[in-house]
Amino acid sequence: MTTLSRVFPNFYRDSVSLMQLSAKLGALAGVEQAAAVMATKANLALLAETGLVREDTAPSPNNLLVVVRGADETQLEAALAEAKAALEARPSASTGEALPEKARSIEMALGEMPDANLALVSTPGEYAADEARKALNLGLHVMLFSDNVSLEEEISLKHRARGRDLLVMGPDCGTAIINGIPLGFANVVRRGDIGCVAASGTGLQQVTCLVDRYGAGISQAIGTGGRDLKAEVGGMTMLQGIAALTHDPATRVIVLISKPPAPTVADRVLGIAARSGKPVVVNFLGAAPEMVKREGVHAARTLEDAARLAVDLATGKAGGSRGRGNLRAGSARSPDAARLAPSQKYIRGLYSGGTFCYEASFLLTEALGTTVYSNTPVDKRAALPDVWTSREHTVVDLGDDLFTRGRPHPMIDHRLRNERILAEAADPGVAVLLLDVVLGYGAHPDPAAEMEPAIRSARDIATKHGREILFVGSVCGTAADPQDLSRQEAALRDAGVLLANSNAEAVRLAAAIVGGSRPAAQHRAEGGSRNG
Amino acid sequence: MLRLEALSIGSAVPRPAFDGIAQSVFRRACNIRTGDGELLALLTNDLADSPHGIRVAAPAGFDFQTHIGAGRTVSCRAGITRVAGSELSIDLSSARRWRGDVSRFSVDLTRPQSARAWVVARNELDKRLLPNALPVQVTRVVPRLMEAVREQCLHQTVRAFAPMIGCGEGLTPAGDDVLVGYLVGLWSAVGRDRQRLMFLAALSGPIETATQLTNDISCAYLKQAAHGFAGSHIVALARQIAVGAAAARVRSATGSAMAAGASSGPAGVYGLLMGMATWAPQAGRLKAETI
Repeated sequence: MTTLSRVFPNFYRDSVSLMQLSAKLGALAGVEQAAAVMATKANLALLAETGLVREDTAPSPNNLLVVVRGADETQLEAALAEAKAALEARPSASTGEALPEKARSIEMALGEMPDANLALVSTPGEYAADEARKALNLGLHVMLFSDNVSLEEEISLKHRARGRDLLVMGPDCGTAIINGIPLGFANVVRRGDIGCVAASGTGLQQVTCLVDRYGAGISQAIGTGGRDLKAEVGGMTMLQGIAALTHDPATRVIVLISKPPAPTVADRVLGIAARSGKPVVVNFLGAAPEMVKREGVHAARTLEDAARLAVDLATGKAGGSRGRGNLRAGSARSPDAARLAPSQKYIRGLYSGGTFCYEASFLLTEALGTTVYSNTPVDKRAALPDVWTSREHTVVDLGDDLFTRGRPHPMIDHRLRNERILAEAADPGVAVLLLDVVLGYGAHPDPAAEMEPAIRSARDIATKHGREILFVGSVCGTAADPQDLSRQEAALRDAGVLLANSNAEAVRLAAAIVGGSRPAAQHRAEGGSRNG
Repeated sequence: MLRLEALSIGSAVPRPAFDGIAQSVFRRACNIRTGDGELLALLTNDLADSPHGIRVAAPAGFDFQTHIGAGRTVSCRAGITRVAGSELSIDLSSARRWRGDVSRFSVDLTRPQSARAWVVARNELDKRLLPNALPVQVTRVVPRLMEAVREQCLHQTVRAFAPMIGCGEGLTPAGDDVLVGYLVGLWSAVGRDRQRLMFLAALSGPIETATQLTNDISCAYLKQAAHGFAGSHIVALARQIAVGAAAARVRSATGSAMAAGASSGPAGVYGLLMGMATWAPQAGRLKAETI
């Protein structure tokens, strides 16, 4: 075994970078152990205990020490070279040498790219509205990724945008695909003739991915921000989005996605949708189909149904678009249930996507006929008293602010969910762990690899207590995503996860396993009814 | 020319003049070593106030690294801080003075309201602390440290905290972060007890000596904590516990304090709570009894 080290004198990088570097080096081929720490006396003593440094190494607390250990010296040299490159990734910034001038304002950026017509604003919330206003004044559409923008500011920005015939997507708009370019957390989908407007980021990801999976494509996917359909905002961006898609010759079918809007807003949106002259599929998650019914407007109960209906309408091949599921969802109590102990009755959904969690919440409540607790419940009476502890049937949105304070979103950092997986596995009442995996730009580069050890450990925990725990999930992504859908799905299947083609299908399978499923035909009838 | 306005100046920042060198530069912070060897920090306004920090109103997307290179000369005259070779200057003239002194709080965990608030904070910490966030080499010495402080034995106290200094991952090693929180916790709960005040005053000497075992950035925080000064998130949490605030407020303050840095926040909160509990009778059973 060989150990190589390198000292970076008076070298400072923030803690997150150092920890990420340690983890990154440790995962490199040929590296069995790695550390990137300040060379304090205490840290050297710890490294000496594990043989990573000699005991007589002199401390130098202001120096950064990188140590790697493994069998092959060539690989270790390569690892140190990679560490050096990573640490010196911004040499000009840290040494004060001259930099090519970077755009430091929207005006400067526009000077460099005069044809740009959209600004993506992602700053702390307190500055975001001002930046968005500047962009609008410069004649740019705005994707406002930032959150913590007040409702008053949102209304003011959207009025200003509408007056200039511009769009404000957001605030807190995480996903859009404009002219084929994914923005924020979005997937690489093929281009086509289905246009979407959505007040839900993961909802938009699920529909666009399923459309791609069903062989069709997306013209535009416009995000509105989660509050757009509140009564105060009046659905301004959604209405503008419908109008834009109505006049877009490349769009043949329009899909609208949101949690149930304020009734007055719903009426206005559906009225405009009905007059668009194009088929419109509406998925107001959990809303009764009769609320949506209008001439030319098709109600979809689930995100999966929305995608399927849209593809059917676009291709004119009713029923032909639905991907064949690899599961027995919708059947009576699943044979998988035979693997469970009598005490195992409950489903625990651990979601990184807020809309997936919401969809699971209402679908499970319906299928099981009992309370499904959640931190983002459909019915406030089902609010989880302590979001850190599940009870009975529970679905948790781990992307909620409560969980992400001071941490990256669970689509990026899987640690929190992995811990929760282990905690749920120790609960003798748990039968099924229900998961979503989101691919695409912005998401973790290899989520399956992150989750797989936790899934196996959870299974071990259950096995030790004479139980078997079932994992059910779906992957929201496409073959063209950077993470490679088929590789992710294969890795998860290999870890024993029962994979569905959509979140709704995964939820139905989970319900079937614990014995709460209703006949598949009924789901199809509700979900796929055409009202137009 | 880019002139930024300072919003607040920590109590340890010398006024009206200082000279220094940019010691390390990050996106949202720039550390300056002054001529007398102390460290000051320029911070963007989204970071917490700090005893040795100058918080500036930075525009969206601002990055210190774009304006200041490590090793550049920084000087402050007549309330204006300038960086050699940079168009950046910072106007300190209208900034408020910020004093993160916790010794006025007199946290008393024998008061049921404060004890309840402490338990809420502790539960919040337990729930949100990632596994292995605190090195076992640090956490295992904390009970010994608490015992030594409770007995007001300076020798044993120094022996107990010595292994913590400079121990752990991160720019400011986790052992330092815990010790910073711990010292602040002790000061927040010292009240008017003369014996304890004298003990803490005596402890500041060995702490300052021990800071040479860690890096300059950690050292700056430890030196301030040794005198009962801390960053605004930790001060805010100490205040909520002192007044026995409602659980939601305590949870929110704990969350904000934990959000600082990668591991510094959780480590500091852990230290703070242990420091506060040190002076409380039967502190070891505090959590179980109060629940």
